[in-house]
Amino acid sequence: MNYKEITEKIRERARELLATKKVGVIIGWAQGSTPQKTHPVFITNPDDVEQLVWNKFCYNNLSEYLNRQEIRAYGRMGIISKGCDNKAIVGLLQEFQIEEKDIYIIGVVCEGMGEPEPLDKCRFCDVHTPVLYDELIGEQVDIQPEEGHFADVEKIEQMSREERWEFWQKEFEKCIRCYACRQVCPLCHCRRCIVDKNQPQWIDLSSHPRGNFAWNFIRAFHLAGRCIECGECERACPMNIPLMLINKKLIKDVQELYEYRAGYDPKAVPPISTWREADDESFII
Amino acid sequence: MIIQKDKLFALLEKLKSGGKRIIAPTKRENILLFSEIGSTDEIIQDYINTRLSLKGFFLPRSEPILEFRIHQKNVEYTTVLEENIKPTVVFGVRPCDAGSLPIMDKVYTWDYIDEYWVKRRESTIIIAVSCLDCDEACFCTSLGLDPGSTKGSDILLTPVGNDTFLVEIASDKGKKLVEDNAELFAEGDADKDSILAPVRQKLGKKFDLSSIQPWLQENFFHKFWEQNTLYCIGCGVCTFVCPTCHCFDIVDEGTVSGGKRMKLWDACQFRTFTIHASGHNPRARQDERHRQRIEHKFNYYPKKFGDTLCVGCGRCVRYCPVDLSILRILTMISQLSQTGSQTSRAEEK
Ligand code: SF4
Ligand code: SF4
Ligand code: SF4
Ligand code: SF4
Ligand code: SF4
Repeated sequence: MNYKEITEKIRERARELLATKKVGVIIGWAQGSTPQKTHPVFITNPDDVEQLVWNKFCYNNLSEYLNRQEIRAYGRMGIISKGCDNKAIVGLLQEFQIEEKDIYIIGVVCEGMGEPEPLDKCRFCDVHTPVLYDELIGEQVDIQPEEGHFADVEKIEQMSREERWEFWQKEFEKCIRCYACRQVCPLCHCRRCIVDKNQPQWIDLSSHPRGNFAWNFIRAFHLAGRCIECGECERACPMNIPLMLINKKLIKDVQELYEYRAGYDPKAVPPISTWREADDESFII
Repeated sequence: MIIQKDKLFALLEKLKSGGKRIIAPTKRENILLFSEIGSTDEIIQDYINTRLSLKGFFLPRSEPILEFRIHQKNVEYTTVLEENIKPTVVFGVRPCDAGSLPIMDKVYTWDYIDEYWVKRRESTIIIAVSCLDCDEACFCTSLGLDPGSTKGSDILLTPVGNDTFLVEIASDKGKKLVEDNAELFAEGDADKDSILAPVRQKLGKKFDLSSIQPWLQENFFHKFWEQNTLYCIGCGVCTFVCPTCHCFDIVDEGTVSGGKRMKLWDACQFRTFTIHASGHNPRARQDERHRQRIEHKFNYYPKKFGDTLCVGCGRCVRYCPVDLSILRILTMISQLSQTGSQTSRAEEK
């Protein structure tokens, strides 16, 4: 199926699901302000489904909206879901943020986003067909992930401690603390983020090196073993800070240490939420 | 009057050796930002606009306003201001950004005089450069500005080819700068209008500004807001990249023995912006928070100060992670007001 056919199919299914009241809202993408952009859209009226599109620019991870009260108020949420977004739904189910009955997943087979170049994440994607869905649109594609998924992380690992420090200092210096990285992240779902807690103020809100380091590290650490690598934080960052390098380092470590990758199995117990008496605790000082 | 590029850069070098901080567009870790230059070689000249506006040089992202020390029950403090004011020249400012400065002056001087803002403004010279190109996010012309407007500048330069700039003096500060360095400037003229004609044509007029405020006044409860702005994720991008957004927060940071009181950028799009101590949030929904952004810029500010709290620089359009384009919102409002579609309070959702 090509983009046009998938778009038609999405509209047809959205119309049907809304008309039969199987869902109260369809979360999808609509044509954006330029031909190279789309924006998220919430369709509640079957007559509005023509707004829905599927093309190479459906960047936003719509799973972000599943946890928003204003959207939940529409009723059962139908969501158009590509593979990477879909992994976030797995995370939200594992963490009891949503229940299966609250959502209806229209999975879409995705050949990759971005033009002319595919997004970096799409080059290494192994979920062109989503993991979890109530129904699927599109035919299975056989696109193998490229080699070298962690090559960029390894480059940083090979730097000396001083070089790494300098690298990150320069990058974090740019951070303006807009929290787009947090707001866009489907798994940054705390009602009150630690950085918004001010009694006491755990993390300095100022953009000085201490504040920016604290913020960027805490954000990444809190996603350890949870980040599903959708790349939205990095895409959203207005200052082009390579946040995926940190996320991918954590993903790599969790994979090596616990043989766990987030977002593939809603029944799996994430390493961060489990404990065994026999666990190695030698790292605790 | 004209100036050659080498003379212009000589002027900047001269001002620098005279003790002024020179700020210009530079590449920093792959993005274009205004920053202090060590030499004119660092200046980038081929750009639509910088990632952040120049507001950070008057209202920094975060700055200490006082330092305090606590000894048992005594608290001593010292204010921090003068050492943070540096004589500055900003070069390469686009006319939209220069135009934002008088708009911000009104906010910071109408009642309480914000010394931080005012003193920095006084000690800064703005050398703006007209735009010969724009992108699809730019919309200065729809707001009564222009790629060659002098509003907010001390000197406006328009590139006229052959490394030559047409010089327009736009303030007393600018006049003095030219007089003090007269040897670097030369007699000459150029047809600014014909130079700017292509970019003006490309910009066009994207909506009717006069229709926006009346519509906003009538349609606070219109379903438009829910339909078109609820997908805002409530980050600080649009506010922080914006040259005219000016809200700040005051927080203390430090330890039991002392610390600093910091002034930080804040954003009405954050959920915590309006939360009361009781836990009640008068702008509980994201579409309500987004409505505030539009109402403030195109209704409340105009009502109070008779100007618009937006210069059409397009930054918020370019960098919004969910493509919630203010340009699109304004275009839609302008169209709605023509078709007369309004829902009264009674019909509200
Ligand atoms: S990572 Fe996979 S599912 Fe996600 S946009 Fe890229 S190709 Fe599509
Ligand atoms: S941390 Fe970034 S890549 Fe990971 S889930 Fe969140 S937005 Fe996606
Ligand atoms: S999105 Fe980028 S600039 Fe904004 S807080 Fe996150 S890292 Fe900092
Ligand atoms: S409009 Fe865009 S940039 Fe502004 S707060 Fe909403 S999501 Fe962030
Ligand atoms: S609202 Fe947007 S276009 Fe207007 S001045 Fe601010 S950043 Fe520029």
